[in-house]
Amino acid sequence: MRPILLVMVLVLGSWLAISRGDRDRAVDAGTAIRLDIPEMVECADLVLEGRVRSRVVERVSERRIETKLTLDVDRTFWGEDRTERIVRLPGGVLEDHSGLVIPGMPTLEVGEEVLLFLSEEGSTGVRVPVGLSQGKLRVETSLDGQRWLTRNQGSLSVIDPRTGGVRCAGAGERLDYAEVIAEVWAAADARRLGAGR
Amino acid sequence: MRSLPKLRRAAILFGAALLPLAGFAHVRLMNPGNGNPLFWNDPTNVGIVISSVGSDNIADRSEDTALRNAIDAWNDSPGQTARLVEDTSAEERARTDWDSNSIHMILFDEDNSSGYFPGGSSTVAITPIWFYSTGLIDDADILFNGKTFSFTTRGQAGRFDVQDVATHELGHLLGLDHSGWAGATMYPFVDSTVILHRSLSGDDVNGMRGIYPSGSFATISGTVKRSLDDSPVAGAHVVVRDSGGRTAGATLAAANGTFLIEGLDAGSYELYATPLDHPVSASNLGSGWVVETDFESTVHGTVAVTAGGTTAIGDFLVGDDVSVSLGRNSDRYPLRCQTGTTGALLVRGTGLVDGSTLSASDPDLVVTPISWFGTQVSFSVNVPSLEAAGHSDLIITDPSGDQSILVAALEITPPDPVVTTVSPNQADIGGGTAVTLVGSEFRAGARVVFGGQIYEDGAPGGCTVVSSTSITLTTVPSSAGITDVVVIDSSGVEGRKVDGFQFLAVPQIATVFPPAGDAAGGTQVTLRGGNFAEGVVVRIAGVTQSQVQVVSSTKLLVTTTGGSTGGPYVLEVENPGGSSASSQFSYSSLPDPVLGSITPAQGSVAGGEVVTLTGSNFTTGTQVFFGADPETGTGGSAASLAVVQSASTIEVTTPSSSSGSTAVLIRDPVTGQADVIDEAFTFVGGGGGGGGGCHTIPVQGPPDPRDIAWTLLLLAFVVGGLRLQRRASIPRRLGAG
Repeated sequence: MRPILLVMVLVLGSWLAISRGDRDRAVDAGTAIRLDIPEMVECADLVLEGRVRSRVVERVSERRIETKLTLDVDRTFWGEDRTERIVRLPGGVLEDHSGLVIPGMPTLEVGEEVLLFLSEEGSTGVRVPVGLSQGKLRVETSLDGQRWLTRNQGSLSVIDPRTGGVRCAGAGERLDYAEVIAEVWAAADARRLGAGR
Repeated sequence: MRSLPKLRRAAILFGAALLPLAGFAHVRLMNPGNGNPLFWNDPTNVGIVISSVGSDNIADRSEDTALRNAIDAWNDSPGQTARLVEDTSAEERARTDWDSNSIHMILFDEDNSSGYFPGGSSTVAITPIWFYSTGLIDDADILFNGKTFSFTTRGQAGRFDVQDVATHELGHLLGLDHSGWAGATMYPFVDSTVILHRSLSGDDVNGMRGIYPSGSFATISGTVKRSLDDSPVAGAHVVVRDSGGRTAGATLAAANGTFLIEGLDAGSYELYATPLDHPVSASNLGSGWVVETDFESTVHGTVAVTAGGTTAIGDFLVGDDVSVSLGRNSDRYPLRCQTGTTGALLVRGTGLVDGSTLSASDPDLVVTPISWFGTQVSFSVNVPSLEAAGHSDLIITDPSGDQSILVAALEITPPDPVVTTVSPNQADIGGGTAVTLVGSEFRAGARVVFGGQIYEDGAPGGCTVVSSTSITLTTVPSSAGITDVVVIDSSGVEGRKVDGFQFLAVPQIATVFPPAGDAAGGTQVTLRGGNFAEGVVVRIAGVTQSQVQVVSSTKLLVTTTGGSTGGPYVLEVENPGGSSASSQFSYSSLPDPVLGSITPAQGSVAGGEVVTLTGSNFTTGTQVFFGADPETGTGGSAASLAVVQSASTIEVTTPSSSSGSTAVLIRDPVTGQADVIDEAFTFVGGGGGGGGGCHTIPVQGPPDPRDIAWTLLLLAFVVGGLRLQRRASIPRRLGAG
């Protein structure tokens, strides 16, 4: 395939994926307390690593919109271990492009690999990422298999114009994957021990 | 590699297509479905309602004033048209359907009834915003997480400042996203120890100007590109400083690197670009932004702009990425630098090594590094005493010359105001009381908050900052209660006189005792009631009584000045501020009766024992009561028999009573004049009355010796004939009154 065609296909594919996702993505803002990894584990009701399989935005009542995410779970650090999870987050954009935005609330994209720290389910079944955007870390994998975590909205990846590689937007908060995972396990173990389990 | 230029173009086009409207001043909230920025259709009248339920952490309802101060912060922002208009009607404030689009409400969700604060969310407050596809905002509300967190208006440790959090959330409600300025109100992180987000930064002000401009402001445009290969930098944080080195405006570049800094006043600015990586990053923005951070903080140079004009600088080339980086979100921003002081501070980051230089963009600030630790640097900042409030960047240049800029990290503030005295410190709730605050560090633009009201310097019905040590105001109608007196500087810092003022409700008179007195004056009258204030004025028949003692808010002692015989006259009690209550009082031509002593002062609970009351000015028909309330004259039991032997002696037969000390009261039933001695007589169990138990309680001065002699002369006769007199029920027997 000629390079220009490759680029067009890539751009078009990304465009379609993103624009489809944008139709029903929740937005964010708000005020959350600042947390480190052990604190997020301590606060969370569910900590897992997985991939977003599907996402549906629903108007569950006249004044409430929720985003239903189905996750394929790779591992659960805290909470009942399941291979699949359905998580409902508040907010989202409906097909007519109207919606509910909650500033600070992270968004999750279909296909995105994530490390999630989630609150308990509220009375309506909704969970909230612990510390809003802090509660979602995106798992990135380079072409050579190296992994890292980024704390961003995860909404966009852009083509690096210099290298031709895929560069994640907002890569400023790049965290060492192994280090964070170790921290999460350690904090979860400490919490279990503290709970006498 | 031949295809790189095409890839680059593709990337730029791709990003530009995704973010057609990026490049606004400040950072706006966007409709993530199509990138349309969110906005209010009629920004000049954005209704807002403060729920009447309030916070269960705050007893004095001062959260209302804190929220109103937050609203005013945005309304007072210059150069923009947005106005948050509070509906204070009780009906609206009582509504619970906060998520209805017919009301924009601020409320404290104490039980997670909203569902937005499930356990572990760690969310202090949120602002759900409903919008249409065009970006038009349909509804927005602010919810405080009262279930998990505690809030304060008075700096209580471990609690979040209502005004600080509310000011931030109101920025969202108006359409602003988070800011890359560490010192901005829209900085994404909040600490319970920080209140400086109460005041808007230049970035917040420019953000409002960008969305809702009320005039024509200057603009700087350009395109951020990498010097290495001319590729555009998406999401570069482009910032300007004014000629004094103060952070003045900012924007995020669009995906194609283009930017517009709007809302600027005419002048010269130093322009630079810096990566939006720490402490604020793309993760703190709403989705839809492309933010690249692989470049060095780079200063472009000075750019001059004219009012209403646009200065296009063309390409702005930034350097390649560097390892040095200043600021982390674990720091608590902004870093306060108080004028006239030298403060020690600490900032985290990477590449913070010895041999680097650390400076402030405002050259008046003297930054002196203390220790370099690689991932953090401690330093001091000296601020001259006359420095204006505002924000300055913190800049590090490492030994190799690489630079990192922490935008608006230093917030220069004046010292905290100090409220020393409030005079008077009481007034009634009706308002109209002139109050003077004395202290220090009072400055123009200050707000005084107390009694649920805000007094803004220079505003109608507000306060006047007379000098740096004095503020005057006149109270407006307020709720009753004790309240802090707070002076809040325009920078957001505050001084507080805890429990510094009491608003008293309208005075109430329950009893006046005695209800009559000698026309010559000198009668001590006890007024019981409520809400009596220091400075209260008592008038009888329109004559101001000169001797008034405020024993408590429920008791007054008045020594009458006298007046014309007659009545009843109007007795009026007026608190400072004018609210008043009235009762009655009469003047008699007779001197007031004076009760001196009771002998014996102890008797049986069974009653029936004869005791002698001595004093003066007793009249025929004088009534005697045991156990009456000494302050109201009410209650008690009438002596079963009272014989007025003379103007100075009465013999009475005690009534039955429960044991204990009781007051003894005498009263002229015709004029109402009276006197009382508290605990003048003790009833004891078992009938042990007279004999050796006899003793006298001297009160109100020694009795007249002539009266004593007369009393002794008659005593034998009276005691001996007591039973006979009872049977005969002679006319001088007194009723119960």
